[in-house]
Amino acid sequence: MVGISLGGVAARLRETIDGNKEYTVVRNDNLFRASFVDRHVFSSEYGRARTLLTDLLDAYDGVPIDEAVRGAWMDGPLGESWVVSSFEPVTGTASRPEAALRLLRRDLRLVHGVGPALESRLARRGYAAIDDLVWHRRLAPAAQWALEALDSGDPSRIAQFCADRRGRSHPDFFLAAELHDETEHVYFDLETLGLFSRPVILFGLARLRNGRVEVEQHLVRDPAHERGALAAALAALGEAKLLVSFNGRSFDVPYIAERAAYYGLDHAVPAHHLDLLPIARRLWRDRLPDCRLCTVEAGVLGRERTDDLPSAMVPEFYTAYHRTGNPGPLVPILAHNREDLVSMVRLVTRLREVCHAA
Amino acid sequence: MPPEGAAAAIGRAAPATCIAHVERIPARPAEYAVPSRPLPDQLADWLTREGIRLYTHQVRALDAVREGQDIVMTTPTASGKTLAFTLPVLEALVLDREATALYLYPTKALANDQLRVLQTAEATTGLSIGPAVYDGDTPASRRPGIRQRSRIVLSNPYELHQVLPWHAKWHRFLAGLRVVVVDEAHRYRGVFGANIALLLRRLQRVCRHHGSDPVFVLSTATLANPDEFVATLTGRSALLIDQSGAPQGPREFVLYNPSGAGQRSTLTDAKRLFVDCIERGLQTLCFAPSRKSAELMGSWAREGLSDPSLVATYRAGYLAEERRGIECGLKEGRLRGVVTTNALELGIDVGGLDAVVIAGYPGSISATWQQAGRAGRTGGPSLAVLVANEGPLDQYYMRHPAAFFGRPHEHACLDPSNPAMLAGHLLCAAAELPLTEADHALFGDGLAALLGPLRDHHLLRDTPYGHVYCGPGRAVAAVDLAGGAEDRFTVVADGRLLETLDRDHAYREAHPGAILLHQAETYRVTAMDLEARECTAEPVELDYQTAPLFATAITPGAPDGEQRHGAIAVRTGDVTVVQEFGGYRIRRYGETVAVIPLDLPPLSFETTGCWWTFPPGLPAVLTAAGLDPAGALHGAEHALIACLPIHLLCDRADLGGFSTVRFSSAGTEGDGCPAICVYDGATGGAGLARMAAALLPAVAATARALVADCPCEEGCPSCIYSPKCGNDNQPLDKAGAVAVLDELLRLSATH
Repeated sequence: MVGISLGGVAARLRETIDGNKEYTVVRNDNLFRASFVDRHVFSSEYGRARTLLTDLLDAYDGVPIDEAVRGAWMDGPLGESWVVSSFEPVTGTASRPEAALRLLRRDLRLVHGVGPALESRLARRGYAAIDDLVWHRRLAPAAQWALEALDSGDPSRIAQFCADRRGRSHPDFFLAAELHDETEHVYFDLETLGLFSRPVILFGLARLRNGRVEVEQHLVRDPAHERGALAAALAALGEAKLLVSFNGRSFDVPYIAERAAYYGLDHAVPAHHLDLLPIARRLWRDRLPDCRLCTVEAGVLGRERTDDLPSAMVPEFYTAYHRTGNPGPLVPILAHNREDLVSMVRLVTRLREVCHAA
Repeated sequence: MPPEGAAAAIGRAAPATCIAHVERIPARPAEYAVPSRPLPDQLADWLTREGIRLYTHQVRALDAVREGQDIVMTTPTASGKTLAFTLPVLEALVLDREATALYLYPTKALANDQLRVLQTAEATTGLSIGPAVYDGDTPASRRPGIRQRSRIVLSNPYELHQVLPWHAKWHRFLAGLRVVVVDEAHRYRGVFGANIALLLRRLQRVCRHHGSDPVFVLSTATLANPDEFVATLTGRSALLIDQSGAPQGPREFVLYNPSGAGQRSTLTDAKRLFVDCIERGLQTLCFAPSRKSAELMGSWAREGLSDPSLVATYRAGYLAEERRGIECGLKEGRLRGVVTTNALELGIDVGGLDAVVIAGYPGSISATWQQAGRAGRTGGPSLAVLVANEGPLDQYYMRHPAAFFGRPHEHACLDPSNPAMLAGHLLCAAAELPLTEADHALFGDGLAALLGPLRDHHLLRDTPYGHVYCGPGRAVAAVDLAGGAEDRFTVVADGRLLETLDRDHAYREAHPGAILLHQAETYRVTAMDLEARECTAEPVELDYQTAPLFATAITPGAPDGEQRHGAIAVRTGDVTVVQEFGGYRIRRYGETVAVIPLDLPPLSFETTGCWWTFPPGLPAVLTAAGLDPAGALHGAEHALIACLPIHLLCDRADLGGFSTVRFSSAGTEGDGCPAICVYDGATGGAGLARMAAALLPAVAATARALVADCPCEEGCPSCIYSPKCGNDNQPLDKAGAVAVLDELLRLSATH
């Protein structure tokens, strides 16, 4: 290998890889066109983000990373992890497990054998709750079985029962999640270097504690720290009674499982997982142009994003940091992830209102 | 009705002078054997029920795989190869409920054919295997089930490349993987082969991670170097099984050289022989060189027969139903003859036929035997006729039948050390699992050399756990197994995509003004955008062709190897090839009627080559003998490249050549001497030139015979004319070429 420059080989590969973007920039912010592509960034967002990147690289030139993203090294099961901690006040109503359980008991469809037609016939004949069906000649055994599940006092079993009967996008599944103690929920959102088989950049976790949202972000300052941060995040997730995510069933959980397999780590993600995306989609699909988290925030929570970084462009920002060593591009990644976590908490509050009102 | 002797069968159809050779291959009885250990009852009962007795090669394969030994089988078509590698797989699956196996086929169609075989085996043995094809056509809904349950998965390299990053989801399958079957392995050569070799290394490291170490079971066509080829492909040594125990009926193989010249006489003579065979009651298959010629010969044959419904045409592009109908017609005997392209060469079961007529040498001896093997499958007598074309390979074998029927001399080669390919696969590997010390043995020295540059370009990161991929895009998307994806040109006509070409072919065939043939339609290229890599063409009705004119210059780097043959030192190493496209010729009926200048930037690429020099006095000696030194070297270069496919499984278009009376090698040894260089057409090299360096004396001897035995006066397309020559086959000196090849042979025998 004399004449062939290995540097040239690597440069050409990098050019190819940089050229294969995993999103499409939609010209003129055309909503109609956006509906044809899986992952898109509107051209206005794209332009703003590119300007932001340039500005950040200027602003943070020479700034040490410890100063740009203030945090602390924390010991994890497999080494240290750089953790950025912050808080956010909680607004809205607290969870009401008893009320949630009452609502579940009123859903006759949770009884095996009850479909939409039978449900309305039963309602007309005065059956208002599952408890009434224990006197129904044909449905009594199924009703007994449903009550046994609902009375088990085991939120995970109840949630599984609701998921089996009604699906994971049904309000019942959300209500079942309400039976867990709120302080044992862990909100979870990953930022990654791509859609698949690349390092995780940031493990974002949030919990409701001491009457506020406690945000704990494990930043992978260098891919060499990914394994340590991964182990710390897996440990935190392992302690959770309930995992709350937005699209986590399709993305974050398989992704973290794949990264654990990549490093040969054993992992156990809690079985009970509340993914807010299918529920939001079921409730608001007709009202919203799409069901990205930021769209739901704007359309349902009435909150406009203050950060200018579209999710799909996170890899680009991290790569800029990685290649220059300038920590500037990390700042909006952390902010973006934090907003996602806090939004999920707000979305749960909003869903509580909707599901209890129904 | 059995053939009554080749000469008699075709005697009426053609003058005896056209029969270059008749090879009579005697019948061979079956040789059976018994496995060293009895098979499990389920399998033994199955074989008994089906009335199958195992042949010697099947038992050798079974015994070797049981010992954990990789094998490579080169036994001929229809020798029961499928059973030979399926039996050890089934046994492993019976003995271990967790065991799984992977079958890799070069095409989807072959995998689907094999699926039917395995499904039958499952049904008749009562084993629970759940064989399934997992490829680009597998619906998403079926994929999880296959991953979770199937014990035999059939796929192709393209799919495996996409699947490996998801290895965690395949844990059950990979952890149980006992056997990897690689069928038709000879197709994995050149650039494609190097990519497959690297892919198989990635598969091995992922298996290691999941705790398995599968045996590799390969089958290839007959090769001169099966051990070496397989060792390069898999990186492991394999036991060669080349003796078939299957019975073979008596065969007659006729080499037939048409008296007329040109493609047309090959087709008309082949058609005559085909019709004659059918009329004599022989069920006959006729292989045509292209789809168009298949259609043509089919219609001629129908005209020549009293009952046209006895003959059909078969090729890719027909509807599956039509194809099944033809296959059934052949099996049931309704159809007496079929004209086909090589679409019928493999896999598809049409039962035994009496005769095969092959119009034009298919490019390799193994492909010829694969086609000829379609006759006499039932063990009865059979006839095969190869009708030659005017090409040098056809003509060489017509004059040297011993070379055709003798010991195998086709080498298959690939070069997985090509840094451009290795770098891409290293990124894929690092995205699958961190690259560690353990991977150096698998990927060779190139790995260590590439880690630095890949780190410098922030594609890999060194971590305490190994090198981790951290590029912003998918690593597998940066690798194209067929090669050349990153530099492909598109040809567009009326807004429709006609075809895609690599840069080299785009320069030759799609430059502005070029006439491009696409599915029998003629197009003229009107514009070529080098930035956007797009050529625009328009449909035209014209009766001329174009051929580019270009000058090639070679700059060799420092040699990285030297192969000595007597007094000739063949150096190998990287070369930079620069081609200046000065213009193109307009040719009508084979005559150049005009030369049009072209304004294109030079085409430059780095590849691997081999080169050697002659003593500085050679030109004077040639001149004194009344020969033209430049024409002599040029002719010898063309003849050598024309003959390389006889020794190396490749097409002459895969190689380029260069000859000069005064070599400039930057002051190193041989500067200013006459020289010849042969280089790989693929950027980065495909291993052909390196192999050519080792085979030079044999190739030179073949080339000498090719040129000297050709009856032409001054050179022709059968000897020293090259269809790819950028210099319009000028200058050429046939007698001089023989003198140069004689000199090369003399020097390589001098110690």
